[in-house]
Amino acid sequence: MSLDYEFMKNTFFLCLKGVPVALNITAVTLLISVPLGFVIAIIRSNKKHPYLSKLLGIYISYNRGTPMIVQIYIIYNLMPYLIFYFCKRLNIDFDVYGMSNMVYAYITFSLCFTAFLAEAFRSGLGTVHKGQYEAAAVVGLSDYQCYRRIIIPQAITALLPILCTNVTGLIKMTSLAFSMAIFDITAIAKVEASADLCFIEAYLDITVIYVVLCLLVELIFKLIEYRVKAHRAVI
Amino acid sequence: MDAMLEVKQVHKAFGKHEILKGVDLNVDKGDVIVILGPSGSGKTTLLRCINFLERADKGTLSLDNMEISMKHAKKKEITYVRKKTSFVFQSYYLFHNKTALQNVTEGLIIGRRLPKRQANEIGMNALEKVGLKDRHAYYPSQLSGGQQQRVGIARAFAANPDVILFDEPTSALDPELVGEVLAVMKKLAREGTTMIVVTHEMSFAQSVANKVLFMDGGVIVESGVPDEIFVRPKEERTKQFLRRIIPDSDYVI
Repeated sequence: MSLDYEFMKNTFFLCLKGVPVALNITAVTLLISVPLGFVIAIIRSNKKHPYLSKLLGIYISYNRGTPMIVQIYIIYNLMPYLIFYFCKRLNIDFDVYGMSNMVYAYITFSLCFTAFLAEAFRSGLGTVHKGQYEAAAVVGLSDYQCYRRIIIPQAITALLPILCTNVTGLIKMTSLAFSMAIFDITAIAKVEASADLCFIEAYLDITVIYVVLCLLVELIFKLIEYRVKAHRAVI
Repeated sequence: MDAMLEVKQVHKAFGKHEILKGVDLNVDKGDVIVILGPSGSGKTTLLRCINFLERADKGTLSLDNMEISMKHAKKKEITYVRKKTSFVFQSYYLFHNKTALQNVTEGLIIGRRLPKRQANEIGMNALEKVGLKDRHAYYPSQLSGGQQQRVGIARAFAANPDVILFDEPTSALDPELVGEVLAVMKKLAREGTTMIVVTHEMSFAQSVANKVLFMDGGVIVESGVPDEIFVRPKEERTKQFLRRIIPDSDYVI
């Protein structure tokens, strides 16, 4: 068996066109999920809102307990009906079927990834001793100031490696966007491969692309970690 | 004269376990009150209730003529109490991500909104008083336990509180580091700082306190000036406790 190198080269550059799509989904998802995940983690890690915590726990269990592809199918099929129904009820003139598939991708990935991040952040917050909260309260810091100035800066050291794993996971997860008819890296490879029947070549191509993307993310996180630790003594 | 800080009938239970069963406490300006008692007697819980780190089930607190229900205190009232009191923790609880100086000034700049320059000046003076001015740029992890606790004390009195609450400030320290912390506390006491100290350091109680309370089983069993309590305790439980503790303290030089 021999590989079709010409096809490999051409497909590689074609697949690169999917990289902005994957990064676009990743970036928007992060922008939504990071703040939301933090809020959920904070709600779930202190005992002030028992019922809300339970409810959020169910949401997290759902996202952890169902395959990503199933979540995509559900939202991709259910969402248009829901939006259509509400728009009709509220007399809003809105063309549901003209909505970009990217919007569905943002919604699906954000919903899922927020749940993952909430748990990652909760484990990060758990590394900070409760005495830090008490000391902050005693010297007169508000809850917000306490998290902003004392807790989160300390949690971040423990949290960066987990966050890095999650972000690389998210980039790989975007490969499922093809099931929402979005032309990302994997979708392009699949189409090209079926046209020329060169599956192995196409998949080797995108393996390289994903590995390089994730290595870049790792590198970025290494730099952040270095910076965070540089101005702080090791705890 | 009215007491500066007065708590009345404090009750606190954790689940079914009653820790405080009606404690009264009066603190006048300049008092150094030492609370003694076996572990589990509620000393620490009492201090934590005064600062609202624990919410008491019953009781009132009056501070500077303002009376507050300890069970139903509002956020504003808690802030008021915390502004006028400071707390020194058994395990120091310095902010790990802040230097010694920042630990002292954090509450001043963020909590009390003092200008940074003024806060830094107060902070440096506070650190000088505990003998750590040259360590102002060190992080807690670079300081010994005794030094950390001295920073903790500096952080407490830099806020210029009416009263400082000490929760077993030397119990987590190596024996050889206890002395430096007690020395700082003695210095503060001599300067007229009002203090409530939960401790097992009998020599400190004997030499510095002007009032000693003995707690057991969630109530104050006996209180008085140190000589009364140490030399002529009236209650059997106090005598038992002192017999167990005093011979021990003879070994500690």
